[in-house]
Amino acid sequence: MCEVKPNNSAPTEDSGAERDWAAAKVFFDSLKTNKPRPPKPQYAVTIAVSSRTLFDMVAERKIYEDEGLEKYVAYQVEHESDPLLPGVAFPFVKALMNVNSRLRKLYPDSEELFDIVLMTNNHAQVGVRLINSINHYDLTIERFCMTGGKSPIGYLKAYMTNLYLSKDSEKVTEAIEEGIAAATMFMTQTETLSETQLRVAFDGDAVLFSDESEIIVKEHGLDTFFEHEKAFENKPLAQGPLKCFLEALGKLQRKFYAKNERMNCPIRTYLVTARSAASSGARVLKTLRSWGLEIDEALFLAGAPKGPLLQKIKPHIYFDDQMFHIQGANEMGTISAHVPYGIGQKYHKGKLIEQPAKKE
Amino acid sequence: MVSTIQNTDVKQKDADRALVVAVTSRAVFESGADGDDVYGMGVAFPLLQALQRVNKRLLEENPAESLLFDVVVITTDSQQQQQSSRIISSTRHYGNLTLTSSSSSSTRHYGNLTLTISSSSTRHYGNLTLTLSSIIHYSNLTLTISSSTRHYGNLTLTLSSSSTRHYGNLTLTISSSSTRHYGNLTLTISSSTRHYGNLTLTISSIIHYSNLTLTISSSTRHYGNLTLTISSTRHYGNLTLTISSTRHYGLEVSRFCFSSEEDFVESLQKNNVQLFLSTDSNEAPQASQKGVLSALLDRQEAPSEQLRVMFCGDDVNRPDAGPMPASRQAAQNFSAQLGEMRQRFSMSDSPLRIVLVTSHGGRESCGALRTLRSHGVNVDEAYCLAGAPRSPILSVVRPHFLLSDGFSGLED
Repeated sequence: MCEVKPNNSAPTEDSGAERDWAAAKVFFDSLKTNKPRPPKPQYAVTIAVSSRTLFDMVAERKIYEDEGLEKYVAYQVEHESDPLLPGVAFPFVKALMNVNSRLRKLYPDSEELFDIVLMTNNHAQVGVRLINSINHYDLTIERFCMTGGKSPIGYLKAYMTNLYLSKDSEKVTEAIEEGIAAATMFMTQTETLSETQLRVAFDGDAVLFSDESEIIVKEHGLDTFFEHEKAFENKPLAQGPLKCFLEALGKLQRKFYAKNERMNCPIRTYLVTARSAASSGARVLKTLRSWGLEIDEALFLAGAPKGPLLQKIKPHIYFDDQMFHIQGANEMGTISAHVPYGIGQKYHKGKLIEQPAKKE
Repeated sequence: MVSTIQNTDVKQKDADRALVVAVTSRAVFESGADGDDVYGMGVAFPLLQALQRVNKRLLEENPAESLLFDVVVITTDSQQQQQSSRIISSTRHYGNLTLTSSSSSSTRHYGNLTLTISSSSTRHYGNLTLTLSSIIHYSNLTLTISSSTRHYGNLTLTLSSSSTRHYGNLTLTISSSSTRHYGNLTLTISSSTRHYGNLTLTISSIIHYSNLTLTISSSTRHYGNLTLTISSTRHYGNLTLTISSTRHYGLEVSRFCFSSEEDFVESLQKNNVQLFLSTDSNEAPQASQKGVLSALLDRQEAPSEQLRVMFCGDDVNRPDAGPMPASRQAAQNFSAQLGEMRQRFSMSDSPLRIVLVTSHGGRESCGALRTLRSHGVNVDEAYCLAGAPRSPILSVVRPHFLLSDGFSGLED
């Protein structure tokens, strides 16, 4: 899952890429801009957001669906000086920017930062309004891909994306199948979130870890699950689609710890799992340890609903593989993102869903 | 000495309105063995086909359209200059031919082999084996097998030719009315043919086919269009297959300019060329310096059918300090005309696509989008790199060529 950014790339590839980057840097510097240059994808944690997650485009979407593409683009062009309203990923992006400014203060020359890319299916003419809106809120998003209807998957790979957020579950599923961490975001009314600390919450099974244990629950029941987890306590679980993203967050966290900022770290991670600490929790913690990953808070709910707890945590984003939990969290005002991976997609509230034939 | 020859097979374009694109002969054709009468397809072939497709769609929208691509093939060195007849015949050789031949042979401009096998009310047919081998210099091979046979055993058709060259189009039609219990239909076309034109295969109205095995293998390069239609109906009455003939169009090249290293730029200027495409990294800057917009062509993997033109937007915004250099003006003119052409098509279903890539971040790219829009160019896709290198994006976008107005060398 982490192949997107290999750590040991062959030396020959490196020198070619280095030359490319050196040349691009020289050219970019000659363009005389005051803004800090966005970091090199190789070292950065690249987050790709779609236009509809970054901004609230519900009304515009309706025009597209009711009146067609040409009318939609014409509308956007007509209103291109009107900034769009913030969308569901907006607080997340602002929190990322805050982490970046803290990192730049501590490590002025480092390229290990968050790199935010706007990855949209929109036509380039709509891009003008998007760029204007981004400038209006002074967001540090410099890299754009406006694919004019083409699938973004190739571009996600080209930009070495660590996380892709979209409202379109088909694209998200495609990305996950290609090994890119991705999640579908849903609109919610949320209270104000922390402006000084990025908070990211993860479900455990089928998000950080593979769905192997969840398969056991769904197919054989809870008792079998408990027995299995106890028996295999010391065997690490396989990794899930968002493990690499947690790893990337951990890498940035350690940069703060190195400068004695652990107490004041602007990134905090949470594990919110239905497992219980006593019977099935140990395996999870041991797996994380075997991966060399830390998580700041691990919350074992033993089956209790996640909503109230998440309401207290107030994460900028919460990843879960089951729509049931996403809906529950959403209702209580938590910004949640669905990870369409694993056996959880075939069930709803414990019952097997009839799957329609997959669209070709 | 430059000689310019018009291609009489192709309708000449309106000199005032057409968008003249010149491509070097070395880019269009690949030199094969010296003995060949016809060249192989070169790097620019997919591009030419994309240009032709745009023209075709433009004429579909408006049969009186005059804003079309006007393609000129130009030689840029003396060696190629000597090869004029070979270049011209290569041009005539290729292209899309929707072959429609009338029920027997009376077609013009062809050397045809027409083979008709028909059997009426044959029953208990055993195996039909047909073998055709070693054909040389065939223009078109038309094979028609029709029957009202029942209980057809196996139909095995083998077309093999060793050392067939210059195969035009192979059209194979197998139709049977009220055939039932067809055994196995095995179709094998193998050849070491080169320059295969179009292969059109139509198999219709078969019921209860046991096995249909279709094998087309060849060490053929540059396969033209393969069209396969299999439709099955029942209670087919008499099948009358009527196909009517069309003329054989080659590549849609209007003119040939046979010039050498010394005078090709002059030739470009005389022919009002608005875009010069070459695979040679020396030729393009030479033309650019004299004010002819140029771009380098490179071999592409999996080139797209849609014509994809990429603009590099870094210079689009530069303030006009002093008189505009000739190449800049050329770029603006070309892009304005291209933009106008793009407007003829809808947003989603266009044979032409305009892509912008900039090294800037979003802020400045916004300006580039607006400037292009003011020149009449509505960009479809935009990629703002903010200092990242272009090559990863280029390999996903796959433009046919890249235009940057002050010709800065292209990577890859």
